[in-house]
Amino acid sequence: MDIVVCGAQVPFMRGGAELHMDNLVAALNAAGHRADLVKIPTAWDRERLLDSALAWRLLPIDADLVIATNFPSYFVQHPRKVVWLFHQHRPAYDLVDTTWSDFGSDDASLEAQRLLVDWDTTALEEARQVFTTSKLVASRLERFNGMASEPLYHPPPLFDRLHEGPFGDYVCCATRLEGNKRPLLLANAMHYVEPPTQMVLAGKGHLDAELRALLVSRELEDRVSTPGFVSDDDLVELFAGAFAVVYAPIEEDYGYVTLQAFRAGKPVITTEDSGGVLEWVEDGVTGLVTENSPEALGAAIESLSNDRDLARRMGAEARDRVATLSWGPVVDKLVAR
Amino acid sequence: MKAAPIHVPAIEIIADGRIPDSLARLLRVCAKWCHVRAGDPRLAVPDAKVAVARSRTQVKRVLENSDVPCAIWVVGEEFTVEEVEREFSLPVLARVLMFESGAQTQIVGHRALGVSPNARFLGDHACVPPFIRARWRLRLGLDENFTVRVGVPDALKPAEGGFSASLAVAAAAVVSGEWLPVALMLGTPVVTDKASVDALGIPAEGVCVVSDQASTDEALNALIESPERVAALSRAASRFAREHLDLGYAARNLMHRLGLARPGLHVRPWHETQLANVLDAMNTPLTAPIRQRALELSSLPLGSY
Repeated sequence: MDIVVCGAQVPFMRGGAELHMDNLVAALNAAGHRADLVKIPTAWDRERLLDSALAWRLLPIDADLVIATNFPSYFVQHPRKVVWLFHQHRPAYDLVDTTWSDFGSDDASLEAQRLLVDWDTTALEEARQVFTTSKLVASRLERFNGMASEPLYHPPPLFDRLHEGPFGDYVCCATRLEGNKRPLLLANAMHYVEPPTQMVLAGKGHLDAELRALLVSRELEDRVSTPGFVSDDDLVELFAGAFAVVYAPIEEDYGYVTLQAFRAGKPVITTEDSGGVLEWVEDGVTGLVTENSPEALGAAIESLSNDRDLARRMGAEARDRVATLSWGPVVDKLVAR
Repeated sequence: MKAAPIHVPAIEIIADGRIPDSLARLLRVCAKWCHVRAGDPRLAVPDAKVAVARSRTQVKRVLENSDVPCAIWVVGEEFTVEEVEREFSLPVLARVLMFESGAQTQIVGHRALGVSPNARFLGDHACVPPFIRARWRLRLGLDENFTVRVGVPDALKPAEGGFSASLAVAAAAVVSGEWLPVALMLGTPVVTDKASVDALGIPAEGVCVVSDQASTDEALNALIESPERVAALSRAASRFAREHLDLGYAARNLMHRLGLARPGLHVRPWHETQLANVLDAMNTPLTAPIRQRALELSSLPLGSY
């Protein structure tokens, strides 16, 4: 059948959501459907938040099925609309009153928030079925919009290429260097880790300069490398050679890094407020879960550095946990109704 | 160039005798969006008619003489659209039969519309979800568990605006009587008595029902302690009120069925203003089809603003 995948995008930004959309389209095509991706720019600031939502309402989408993904792409109108929700506009929901939100307690913010909740609920209720990327996203939808949904897990990018390897002398993470990913927290943790353990922090973002300054001030330049964006080949080898992966975003929706680490047979060190990551990382079984402090993260890195057998056992268990992930069942569910 | 005037649809009333109160109230709300007038052969043909019929014979007469979409308000007799079609061997020209259906406002047959005698215009009230209520309470410096009692014997009697604003931010409320539809529409988690529930035909999932004062306080406290229950009640209540107790919803529903629905005739929601600004900036005439089309395509379903 002809399927249009709908996604919103902030121009010049590329991360997990964009990879997710691309891979979904590829999986649909591989399953014999004719799939295409339609993306519309969006702006996250409060004043322009609903502009893109309105634009989606006006789009003529000629297809047998429409799969909407992130806010506000699910405002698209189609008689056969299925939503696979990556996330809503979190600054108006669970991130309100944090540094990542421009929704305050003023009258305008509260009314904008009320209206957004009303619109979101209406647009999502139009869908024949609502899936989410994780239990966490489903629980937010239940909590804020009173809607039931079904988590639908899918394999991360490079799933077929990631492989096990030696448990070397470093931990790694590949993520956008943005506030919600907390790269500074990861780098700071190395202050509490003994040499020769190293950290590789791949990725780029707005915190690039701040991260480099931190490494200088903490005299960690020789122990934390920041190669920027790395190629797929390099990323696969980066995971393969680490003794653990450290990943501590705030309330992550899903978190490809976790699944990629597991696929490479590596345990993941994370924090108790990392959201969807905790659906996979079981403390002491597939990784370590700590407080969100540099000291606690550093201690966890140190403990696995000193006990590679434990890291190997956790890594093996982690690899088993993701062994059954595949796109086939995901596609079947999405096109079923 | 002067733009052509916008056509405002006209509804003609056909009634031998008194117009039932419920219909009169419904038509007063329809008048927000269209001309509602008595039948007069000197005037232009209306866009639709609303007729009152007190017998099957009158229903038949209206059907035989209706040359425009017609709604028939049936008084006294209960029958379905299918029965009318069968009995008179006529294709039913009426788009809708309306029944004043007591506490129950279920749709009777695919072309019938029930209008609760308890319905009133609630379009000024929008649902405030529980977590935004909590933020409002914080902003206003109210207690986290701020509750309201409205319509109960020991209730305070602030001005109407005070009631409405209080209900909009309350964590939960004990409400009965005339304020119950407002509280439900606002999405206030409500504790009430069985008589009120029966009078409005509220489903069990929409309110928390109690029998006496002691159980009222107990239920109120238990409700506040359960965020999940609060959220479920809030949404179910608001949905029920919007679809069954709001004359604005019923009027728009009626106009839609008569082919008179026209986005933008109500108080403009935000997106319509945005769209209008964009279209005006492009020098788009008021009568241009794209203006109508843009409004139609961008409208969210009834009650979503």
